[in-house]
Amino acid sequence: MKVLGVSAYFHDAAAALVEGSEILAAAQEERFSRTKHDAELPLRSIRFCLEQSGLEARDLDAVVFYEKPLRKFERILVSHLRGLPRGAGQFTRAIGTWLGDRLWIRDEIAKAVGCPKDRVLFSEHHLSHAASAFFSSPFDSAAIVTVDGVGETATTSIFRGETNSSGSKIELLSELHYPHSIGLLYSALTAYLGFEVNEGEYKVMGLAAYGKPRFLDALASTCRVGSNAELEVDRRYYSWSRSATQSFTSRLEALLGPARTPGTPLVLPAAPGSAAERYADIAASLQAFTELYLLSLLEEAKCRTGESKLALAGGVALNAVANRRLIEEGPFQSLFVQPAAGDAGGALGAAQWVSHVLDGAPRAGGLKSALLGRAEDPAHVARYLDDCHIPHRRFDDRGALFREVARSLASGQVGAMSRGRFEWGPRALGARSILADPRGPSTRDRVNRKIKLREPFRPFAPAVLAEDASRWFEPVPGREDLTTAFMCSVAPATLEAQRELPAVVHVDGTARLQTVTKEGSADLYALLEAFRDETGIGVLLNTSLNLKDEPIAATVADAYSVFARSELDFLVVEDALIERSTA
Amino acid sequence: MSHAVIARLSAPLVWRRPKNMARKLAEFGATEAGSALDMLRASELCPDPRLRRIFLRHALDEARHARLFRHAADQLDPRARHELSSRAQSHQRLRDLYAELGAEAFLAFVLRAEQSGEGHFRALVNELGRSEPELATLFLAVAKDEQFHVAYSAHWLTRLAGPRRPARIRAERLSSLWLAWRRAGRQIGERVSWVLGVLLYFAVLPPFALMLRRLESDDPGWKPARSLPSSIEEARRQF
Repeated sequence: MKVLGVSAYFHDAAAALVEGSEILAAAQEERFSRTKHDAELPLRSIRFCLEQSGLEARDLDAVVFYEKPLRKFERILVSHLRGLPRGAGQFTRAIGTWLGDRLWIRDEIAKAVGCPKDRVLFSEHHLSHAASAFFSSPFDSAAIVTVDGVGETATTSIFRGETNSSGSKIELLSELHYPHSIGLLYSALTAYLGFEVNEGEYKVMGLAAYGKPRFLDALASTCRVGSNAELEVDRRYYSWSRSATQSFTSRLEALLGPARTPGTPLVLPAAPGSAAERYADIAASLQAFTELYLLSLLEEAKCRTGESKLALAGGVALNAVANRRLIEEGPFQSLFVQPAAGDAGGALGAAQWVSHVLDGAPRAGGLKSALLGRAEDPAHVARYLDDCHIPHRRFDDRGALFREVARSLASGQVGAMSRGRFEWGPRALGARSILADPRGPSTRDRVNRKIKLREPFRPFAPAVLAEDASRWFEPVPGREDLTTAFMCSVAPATLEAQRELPAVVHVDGTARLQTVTKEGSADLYALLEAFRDETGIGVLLNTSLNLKDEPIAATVADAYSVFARSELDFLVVEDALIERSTA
Repeated sequence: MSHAVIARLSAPLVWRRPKNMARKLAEFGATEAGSALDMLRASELCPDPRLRRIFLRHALDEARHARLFRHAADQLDPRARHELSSRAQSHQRLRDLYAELGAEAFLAFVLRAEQSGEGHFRALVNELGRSEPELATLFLAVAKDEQFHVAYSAHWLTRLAGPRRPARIRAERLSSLWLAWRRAGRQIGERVSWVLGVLLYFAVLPPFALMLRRLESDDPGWKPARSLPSSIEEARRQF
C-alpha cells in the first residue's frame, strides 16, 4: 500500500510517502517554501514525494492527515468559551482561519494531491507522533510516550506498541488533556524569555546552561505535578487562549520579574545581579522543571506498560538536554527518538500507522538514515555554477574532494557541504551542513558571529565517527542510547574532549553529539575519516547550512546564497568546490 | 498618486516616531526578503545563462537590502520584526512567480515592482534627507540598486518580448491593479469578519460559556484508555 502522510496548519508542515515498511521520501515544507516553520498545506513537499518515488497521485492508496480536524476545532471552541471574556482577538483569528480552510481539509487535500476524496484519511495527533517513534525504532515492543503543546485535546500520552507475527498494534493507555501541558508551559516561558515560540525553545536550552535553577520552586508553584505525573497548570499564570505568542499573564511577571523584550541583547556569561543572569536562571529552572516532570512521566509510563524500551516523540522530545537525563536516570533500558519528533514527524507517523496497523504491512528494522529529502542533480548543479559564472573546481573522485576539504578544515577554514538527499527533521546531519575544525577555541565565536549571524551564547554540535564516540563523549553505562545518530541528546564531554575540542563543548561541559555511521550518512562518514587521517581526530563541528531565522538550504542556489552572504571559506555542492579566495 | 506625494503625506505618521519607523523598516525588510527568494528561485528555473546570472545577482541584492532594513529596524525597536502584520509576513514568502508567470511576464513584473521601489525610495531620500540622514543614505543605496534592476529588466523584457513588450507591461499593470483590488477586498473582509467574530464572541457565546463551566471541568488527571481507530472506515472520520 502506498500511503502519503501530510501534516499542516499549525507549524512545521510536511509530507512523507511510505510503501509497506519503506519510507520513500519525507520532507518539511520549509525547505522548499523557504519560510521557517511553514504551516501551509505542504504542496511542494507532496509534489516532491511523488516525484522522488516516481508515482502519480492516482497510484496512492491513501492520503492521511496527521490529526482529526473536527476534534481539534471543538477543543478550540471549548477553550475559548472557558476563557471568555479574555481572548476575543485570538478567537476571531481562529474562527477566520478555521472557516477559511481548515474545516474543509478533506477537500483541500484531495484537490492538492489530485486524488479522490474517499482516499483521504485522518489519524490522531498523538497517535501520529507515537507511530512515527515506534515504527521508526528498531523495537518490537515498547512504551511510547508523546509530549507536545497540544494535539486535538491530548497534551501528553502513554501508548504501548507491539509488533509480532500477527502484525503491529499501538494501544493508547492514558493521556493528559489540554490545558495541562508541559509543552505549552515551555513555550510560554520561551516567549517570556523574549524568544519566538516554536523556534526559540532551542535557545532556551542553550541559555539554561548559563544559569542556576533558583526559580525552580517558583515555577513549581505555577504548575503542580502529582505523584503519578499528573500535571495541573495554574491558569492564573498562563492563558493559552489569550495569545499564541504571549500566553503568560502579568501574575507570572509579578512572580519572576519583567519579561525580556524580544531582540534585546543578552550578554553571557551574565554579570551578577543583571537581568541577563535572571533570564539565564529562569531558563535553567524551566529546563530543570521539565526534566523532573519527564522523569516522573517515564516512571508512570514504565508502570503502565511494563516495557523496558521507550520510543519518545512530540516537540518536547527534541529537548536534547532532557533526553540525556532520561536515559541516565529514567526507568527504561533503551531510548529512541525519531529525527523529526515535532509536528513534521506527524506526517510520517500517520502514513506508517495506516501502512503497518490498518494495512498490516510487515516491518523491516528501524530508520537507519534521516536523508529522506530531495537530492540535487549533479548535472543541474554544474550547469548552474557555470551559467552563474561561479568559480569552482569539480572533483570526479569523491575521496580526493574529501581529502581536500579535510585539509582546508584542518587549516582553520570554515566550510559548508551540500550533497545528496537533504535531512528529515530540524537538524543538519551532514547533507546540508556548515563544518569546522572543533579544535579552534575561537571557531565557535567566529561561526556564530560572522557566519551564522546568531546569538553568541548558542552552542555547536559535534559530528563524530560512531566508533570514536566514546573517546570524546561519555556513553551511558548499561543503557542503549539510540538518540545520538539523529543528534537528539547531549553527552558530557570527556576531559580529553574538553581540552581538545573547545568549539563543540558547551559551557556546561556537554555537547549535542551526532554519531555518524556509513549507513546513516556515507558522505559525512567519509569526510570524518579524511579529517581523522589529517588530524587524528574524527570529529567535526556541524551546524545547519543557513543564516539566522532562515530554513536550512535545500538547493544549490540556497546553498550559494548562504555562502555569498556569509564569511564561509568554501562550499561543497555535490562534486564542486567553491572557494572564497576565487569566488 | 506620485511617490513624492505619498512620502510627504505619510512622513508625519510613519517617519517621526521610532516605533512606527521600525515597523515600516521591518516591513521593507520582509518585502525585500520575499523578493530575494523569488529572484533566487528564478535563477534556478530560468534556462538562459545570462539571465539566471543576473537573477542571482538581483537575489543577493534583495537579500542584502532585507538585512540592512532589518538591522535598521532592530536599532530603533527590536520588537518590530517580531510583530509584523500578517500582510507583511505574507510578503516575505516565496511566491514562485517565475514558475507561475514565465520569463516575459516575470520580467514585466520585476520591471514594474522595481520602478515602483526606486521611485518610493528616492522620494523617501528627499523627504528624510535632513531629519534622518542615516536612513536617507540607506534608501539612496537601495534606490541605486533598484535602478540597475529596472534597467536590466527593461532591457531583457524588450529583448525577449520584442513587439509584445507594451502588451506585457499593460497586462502587468492590470494584474497589479487586480491584485491591489483583491488585497483591499481581503482587508475589508478581514475587518468585517473581525467585527462579526467579536460580536459573536460577546453576544452569542456567553450563555454557552456559563453552561460549559457548570457542566464540565478541565480535570488535570489522566484520562482513561480509549480505543483508537482500527479500520480504514474509522480513519475516514474527521472527528
